[in-house]
Formats: sequence, C-alpha cells, structure tokens
Amino acid sequence: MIALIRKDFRVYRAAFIAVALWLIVILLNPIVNAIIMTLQSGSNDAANVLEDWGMAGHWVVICVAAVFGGCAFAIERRDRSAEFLAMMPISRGKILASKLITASVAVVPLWFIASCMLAGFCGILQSLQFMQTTACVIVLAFGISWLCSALTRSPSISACLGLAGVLLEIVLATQVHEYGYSNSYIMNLVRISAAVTGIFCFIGGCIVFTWRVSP
Amino acid sequence: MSDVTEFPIMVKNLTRRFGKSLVVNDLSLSIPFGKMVGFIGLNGAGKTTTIRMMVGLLKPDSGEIAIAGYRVPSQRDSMKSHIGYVPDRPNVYGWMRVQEAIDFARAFYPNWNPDHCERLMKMFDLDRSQRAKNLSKGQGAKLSLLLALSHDPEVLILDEPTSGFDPLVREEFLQGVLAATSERRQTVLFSSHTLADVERLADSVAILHEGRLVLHSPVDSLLDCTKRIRAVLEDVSSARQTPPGMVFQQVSGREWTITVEKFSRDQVEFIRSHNRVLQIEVLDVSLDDVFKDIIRGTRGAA
Amino acid sequence: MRIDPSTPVPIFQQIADGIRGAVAAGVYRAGDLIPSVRAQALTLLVNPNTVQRAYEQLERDGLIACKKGVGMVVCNESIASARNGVDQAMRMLLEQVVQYARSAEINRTSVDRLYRDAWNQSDKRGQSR
Repeated sequence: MIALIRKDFRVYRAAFIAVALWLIVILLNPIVNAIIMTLQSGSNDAANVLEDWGMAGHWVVICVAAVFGGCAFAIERRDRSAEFLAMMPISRGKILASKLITASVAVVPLWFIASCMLAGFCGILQSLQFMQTTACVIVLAFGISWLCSALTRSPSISACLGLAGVLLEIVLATQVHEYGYSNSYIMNLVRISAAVTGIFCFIGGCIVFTWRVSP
Repeated sequence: MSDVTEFPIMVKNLTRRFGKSLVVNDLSLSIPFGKMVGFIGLNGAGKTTTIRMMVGLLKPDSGEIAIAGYRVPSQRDSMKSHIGYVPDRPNVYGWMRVQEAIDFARAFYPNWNPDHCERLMKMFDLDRSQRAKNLSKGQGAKLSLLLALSHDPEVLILDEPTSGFDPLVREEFLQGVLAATSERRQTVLFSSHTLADVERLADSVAILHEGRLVLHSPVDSLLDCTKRIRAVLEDVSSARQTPPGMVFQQVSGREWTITVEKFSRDQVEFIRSHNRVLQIEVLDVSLDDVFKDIIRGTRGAA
Repeated sequence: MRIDPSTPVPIFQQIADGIRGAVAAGVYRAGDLIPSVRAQALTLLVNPNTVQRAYEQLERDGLIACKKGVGMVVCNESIASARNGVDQAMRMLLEQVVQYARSAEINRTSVDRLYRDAWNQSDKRGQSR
C-alpha cells in the first residue's frame, strides 16, 4: 500500500508543485502585506488583506481539487502505465484508496490554511460556515473531475469539467437568489446539492474504474 | 466449463469484435502443463487481441478463459500473481528507475523471489539507476521480462517479445526466457513473427489466421510429416490430379510443388499414376515454409 | 556448432551432425563429456527436447553413452566413433553438394556425371587410393 501511495505522489508531482507554488503565493503575499499594513496603518486593513487572500485561497483549493480529480486516472491511461499497474496483483480498491489519499494530502491542508486565514478576518464562527460551503464545493469539483478522468484520457478536460460543474452551481445559486430566497437557504441548497452530486460522481468514477476490464 | 485447472492455459470459443470486424473468431486452444507454445500468424490475425483477453486486459465478447486455474476476467486479481506477462511494448512508468520498478513490483507479489531477481539482473546487465523511459527497446523488454519472471509464475505469456530487436539483444532475451523456463517447467505462450525462433524454442505451434485457429501441433511431428513433393510436369496445360491431404500447390513453369500435411509414399504414387510427370522428389520443409503454405492454402480455400 | 532453422534439415539432425562433426574433428575425444542437454540447449538457443532427441539418436548410433552421475560421454570404441565421424563429415559434404545442385537446378543425372568426372580426374592425377 505504501508503495502505491509513493507511486501516486510521484505521478501527481506536477500537481503538487502547482499546489506548493500557490501556497507560497497565498501565504507569503498576504502575510507580508499584512505585516506592512499593520506597521503602517493599523490592524483593520491587515485583516482585509487576509480576508481577500483567504477567499482567493478557497477558490484555489477548488481548482486544485479539480486538478487532482482530473489527474486521477487519465494520466496513467495516456502513457499505458495503467496497464502496468493493472497487471500487478493489487485490488482495484487499494488503487482507488491510494489515489484518494494522495489527493486528500494536497487538498485538505490547503483548505484548512485558507480557512484559517479567513478566520483571521471574520472570526471563527463565520468562517466555519464558509468552510462548510467550500468543502461541499470541493467535493463537487473533485467528484465530477474524478468521474470524467475515469471515462476519458485527458486530465485537463476532466479538470475543466469539474470547474464547469462549480460554475454551474454558482449560476444556479444566483438564479435561485432571483426568486428571493434567503441567503442561508441558498447556502444550504448549494451545500447539499454540491455534496450530493460530488459524492455521486465520485462513486460513479470508482464503479467505472473497478468494473472496467481494460485499464 | 470442465475442470479449469486441467490446462494452465485454456480458452474456449473465444470471440471478439472491433466495430464490424471479427478479430477473434470462435477460438479454442488448450496448452498442457510445461509446454512452450509458439503463437504465429500474419499481422492482424488476432494474436495480440487473444493474448490481451487471456491476461485480463480486454473483455471478450463471448467464450471462456482459464489461466493458471483461474477464470478470466472474473478471478483476474487472484490469477495475476501466478502469471508473468511481457507486453509488445514496455509499459513501465517512464519516470521509474529500474531499481524503483523492481521495488514497486516486489511490494505486491507474495511469491517474489529475490535471488532469482538478482540472477536475472546479472544476466540482463541492466543499469539500476536508469529511468525506464531512457532504456533502449531491448533493455525495456528485458526489464519487463525480469519483472514477469521474478515471482516464479506458473504461466508466462509474451506478446511478440523480440520484434524490432537487434540480433544480439534478441539472443540475450531468448536466452533469458529459455534459462528461466527450463529450470522451472513453466507453461509458456509466446507470439512471434520470427518463425526461426518458434522453430528452435517451441514444443508446439498454434497458427492463427483471420481470428481462427488453423493449426495446433507439436513442431517436430509437424515438420516430420509435412513434406513438399516436387514434380516436373510433362505437359503444363493438362489438368492436374492432386493427391488427398494436399494443403497447397504451386506451379512455376514446369515445376509443380505440392505441400502435404501427412506425408506417405501413397501420395507420391498417386501423383505418378494420375499425372504425366517426368521426375518426382520429396523435400523436407522448415516451419517458415509450412506456415506460408498453410496460410496460402487457407486463403485459397476461403 | 551453429543451428540454421531456415534450412529444411531438422534442428535435432543438425545438432546430431554437429556433434558427430566435432568428434570427427577431434574436438571431443573418446571418454570426453559432451555438454548436458540443458547447457547445450542454452548455448544453441533451442528447445531442450530437441537436444534430447539429437542425443538419443547419437546414443542409438553408439557415438555417446550415458554415464551415471556424470553425463553423456563419447564412447570408448574409437574405431566406431572415428568411422562415424569421418562418415558423418562425408555425409555433410555430400549433403552440401545435393543442396547446391538443388538450388542451381542441376539434376541428379548431371551430378552423377560430374562426380564420376571428378573421380576420374583425381585418378589421372595419380591421387587414387
């Protein structure tokens, strides 16, 4: 199992590098700005900066989730190494678990960091609400791109479809807003629909991968 | 299906289509324990497709497969630790170094034999730190072979393992196969275009043509019993009477060559008595000759 | 010894002839051990069963015998092995002649005639035995 996870870390190396770069951008930039602002004009503006970057950070996490989902199966399918893996006496369940663990190692900490930054601005209770929403949207993006990765050979198209799903969710949310529903209602709707769709697609992707004979 | 453990490699009524074309057509083949079988046929005859179905990489449209006593694809996961598969093109992760690939595979096979692996490493002389994508064609195939043999599989399946190799590498590769299999009595199926290799190494040969099994026979009895009868015709234009058991015939000028599968003196007598011929002689054939004549004969009959 | 699968001569026969030739040339002497079936198969890159068949023929012909615990040895009857060797070398040469005649489309009668001419020439030159 460890060997599998190590392999997956290496396969998604490019994605991890992207995550590291974004981490540097998200962390360094606002912290530096916050320090400068605190020194110059007081803590309020610093908190604003943290908020902006905290929000941006959440969007980045959603993109990262989509990328990892998209890379899940498609990369190995493209260069035939999926066949090499398929010929090893490993259960498909273990292969799936390894990919999920690898993706989580990238996505979860990043989500947590972005949430902490947001908490720095609007307090823990508020940011908890926001964290829940983004968690569901992350599940949505990941689930859709995971399913597409299982069905296609292209990691980029799969990732884009995952993000398209998120955009669709936002569009739906704004449409519902037109009807005058309360914000909290919309938030709950978004959370539930995103999480359910995401989980459904994720399971679909797992089933496709397990039942398929050709890798 | 009858007892699946009877033959280490068994396929029954295997069929597979790609779009409209029938690539494998009702193929049935059983290979007894410890035998090395050469799987030959023209390009597109269905050899790679059959092999991929046997190892569980492709789903058959119909038919049954049992490898090393396990049904494929239903018991595919259990089967994998008992077989070694060498694909037509190496498929190891390109970024993996040779040693990393060995460590990776080693983690998953319960019956991995480290001593055997070391011996093969020495025999193949592979650079442990070289990345798979930088290996030459022959070295890549040797790595695949090493990974396939190191867990002492009962069944070894190779898909055109030496195509495109230079002569030295081909010899090294085949020596690796022969050395490993002769000490362990494995059942081996290998498809090849190099008929000379099949003639040298295989116990028996299976000829595939347009998805159908045309012949499955031990090599030595095939070459003993198949002969070419060459006769000089007195009169080229008159109708020729062919003897029973003819596989293929060819006329070139006055020379009439008949290939027969189960040679007997009666056939020579038949030709002499039913045709006006000046001279008859019987020639031995190589596997190359047999293959070509059988394919031409099958095409002609179709 | 080299094996050529493309010629119509069966591989086991090529191996047997090769060993006979080696005995005739003195590579293996009476009492010498010849390579085991497996070793021979690996060197020549042929199926061990084919080597087995060749060895069985040589054993039947009295050229080699199986010595318990040691392996296959060249028989001590040196006359038999020498004659076999020489006969075999001759046989191989004649097979080459036949093969050449076939490929050059020279028929049997012509070859017989050419052969007799060769003997007559050799007699004339005073090299008769």
